[in-house]
Amino acid sequence: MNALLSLENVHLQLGRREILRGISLALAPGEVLGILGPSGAGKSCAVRVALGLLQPTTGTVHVAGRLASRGGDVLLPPEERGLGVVFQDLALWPHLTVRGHLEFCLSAQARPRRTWGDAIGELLGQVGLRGKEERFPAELSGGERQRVAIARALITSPRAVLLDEPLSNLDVALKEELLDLFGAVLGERGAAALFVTHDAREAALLARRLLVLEEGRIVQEGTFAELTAHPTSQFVQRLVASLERVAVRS
Amino acid sequence: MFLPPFLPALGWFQLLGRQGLVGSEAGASFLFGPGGDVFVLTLAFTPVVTTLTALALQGMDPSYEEAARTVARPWRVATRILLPAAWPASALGGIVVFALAFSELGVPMFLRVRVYPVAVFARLGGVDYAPGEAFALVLPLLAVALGLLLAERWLGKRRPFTVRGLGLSREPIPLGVWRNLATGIVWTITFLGLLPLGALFHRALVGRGFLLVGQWLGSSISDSLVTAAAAATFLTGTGLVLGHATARLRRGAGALDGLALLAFVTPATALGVGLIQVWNHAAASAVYGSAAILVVGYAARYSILGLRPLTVAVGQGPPSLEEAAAVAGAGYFRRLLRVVAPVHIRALAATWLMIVVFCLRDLEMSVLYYPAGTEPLAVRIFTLEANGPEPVVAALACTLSALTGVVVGIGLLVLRARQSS
Repeated sequence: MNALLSLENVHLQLGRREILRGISLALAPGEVLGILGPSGAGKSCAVRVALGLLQPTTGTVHVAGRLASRGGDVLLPPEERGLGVVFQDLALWPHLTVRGHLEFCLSAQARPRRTWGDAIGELLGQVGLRGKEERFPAELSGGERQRVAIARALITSPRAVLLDEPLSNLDVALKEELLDLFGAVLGERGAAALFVTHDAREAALLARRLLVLEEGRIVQEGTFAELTAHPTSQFVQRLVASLERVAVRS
Repeated sequence: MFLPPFLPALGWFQLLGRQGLVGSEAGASFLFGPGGDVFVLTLAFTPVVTTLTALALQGMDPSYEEAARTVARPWRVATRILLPAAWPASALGGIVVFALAFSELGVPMFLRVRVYPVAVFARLGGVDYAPGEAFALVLPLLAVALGLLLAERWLGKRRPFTVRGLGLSREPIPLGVWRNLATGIVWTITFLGLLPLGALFHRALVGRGFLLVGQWLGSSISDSLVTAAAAATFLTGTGLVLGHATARLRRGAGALDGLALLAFVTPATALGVGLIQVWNHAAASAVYGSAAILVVGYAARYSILGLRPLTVAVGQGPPSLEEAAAVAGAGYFRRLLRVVAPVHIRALAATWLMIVVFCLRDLEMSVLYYPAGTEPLAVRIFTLEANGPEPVVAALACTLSALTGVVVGIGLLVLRARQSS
């Protein structure tokens, strides 16, 4: 198996709720894979299972070929999986500056201190945050905070980055700008990404292959064109209907 | 936390005193000294800090912790992310504990430790009666209270860290090899907290104190409950009005919040002496000579307990609920009673319950001016502790513990029922 990250037949039950019902996916090196689905489909929980923050009820998670989680057990703790994450609410730590965020990650991964300056400078240049190193999250604009979150996810050169609806609540122009940035930075660094969203347009712009998640099950898979040409899931059928309405009105 | 600390002190005496269950000369020497005072108060007030810290961490967005866990080991996550998140709450807990310990009268008096509030108290009765000296002695305490108020204001300006985000379930951080040690420490503290209550129960049972307790209770249970409930009702009502004003940043609300906090952190002896000075006049005898003075004292000391939780609760609700009512033509009181209060009914109930419990445990204030014949149960135990029969005192202490437990239990059941309805 050469997948960077794979989930096999993962079930997740929280309390009485069955959140994930046997999902399987594999993320190849350098690939950007989209997970598309409505709110409450289980997308964020799938991300947390992949990260090792939640243990699957049954099923397995492999990271770089190594068994990382199996039913009821997290075998490889989150900090040893070599994955980065951008959460929907960004989760920037209010008491740390931009530099503090990146230094926290580098020190936690025991990177030699002499390499920090170059790594931070290069990455902040890539995400357009040079000169903002000493700012706290509260002193940054919405777009700048997104850039800090992506920089934090990438600073340790992870195998893959998991993007959990990072662009919700942003205006269209800023979304476009950040999607371009994500694509460029991921491409430059050769990092794979799992991009989770409920917005089909965002997913199509960043990911070539898409999985549709509904009620904890993967119900359709393919490119955006394939999905919309043969919509088999309710979510994609609604999406196609919506696209047709827009086409008629315009 | 919900019991007057001198109750555990009585229990430790039953354990470590010369004739205690595991008594010895060394144990008694330790207990009746500054070390024993610190030991008893530490165990009594530990839950104040742990509860405030836990509440702060529960209110924290789980993704702060999750983001850190993807790169860092648990110890680093705890020290670099969780500790900074919780420390304003922990430090506030420290201020509250300092204020409560500095006010504490029952424990140092029982353990014969000469602390400042005891000196003030001594001048309000008995052979050292000198009210003028008492008034002079409380002045330095006001400086301490102002210092505590400033410390709390400084903490309040800290960067906000505790806004709940997505409500995903939070997996506990695995403690690994430290799990057994941590579990042992937690259970030891819990055991040490319950041990003196067990000793009191044993003393009351063996000495047949429970058979005699009815003769000594008088009306103290009803006096305690009625005055506590009256004060809690008054403070919850005013807390709703003032908490709403503070949450909506109305002018002057911040100053009132400061005054309420000042009253809470002012050593109870100083506040009590002030109350005596204000109310001990012929014109106010209807209040000073009745249980109403207890309600006045509770209201003065514990107003912050009504104000702060309701400020937080109202502040977390969207102002648009009230704005929609205002647009529909509802005036201020209609909005408050028909929109704000129902939306925050659980917070109101929890606030009322907390104030009742604090009033039930109050000793430091009420012992200074309780009217003859209407002393609350905590005061009754305190006054009997020196000369009353030991098994009866132990039984009375168990009665107060049970009463508090019943009140808290009923309150939690009501809160749970409202949550599920």
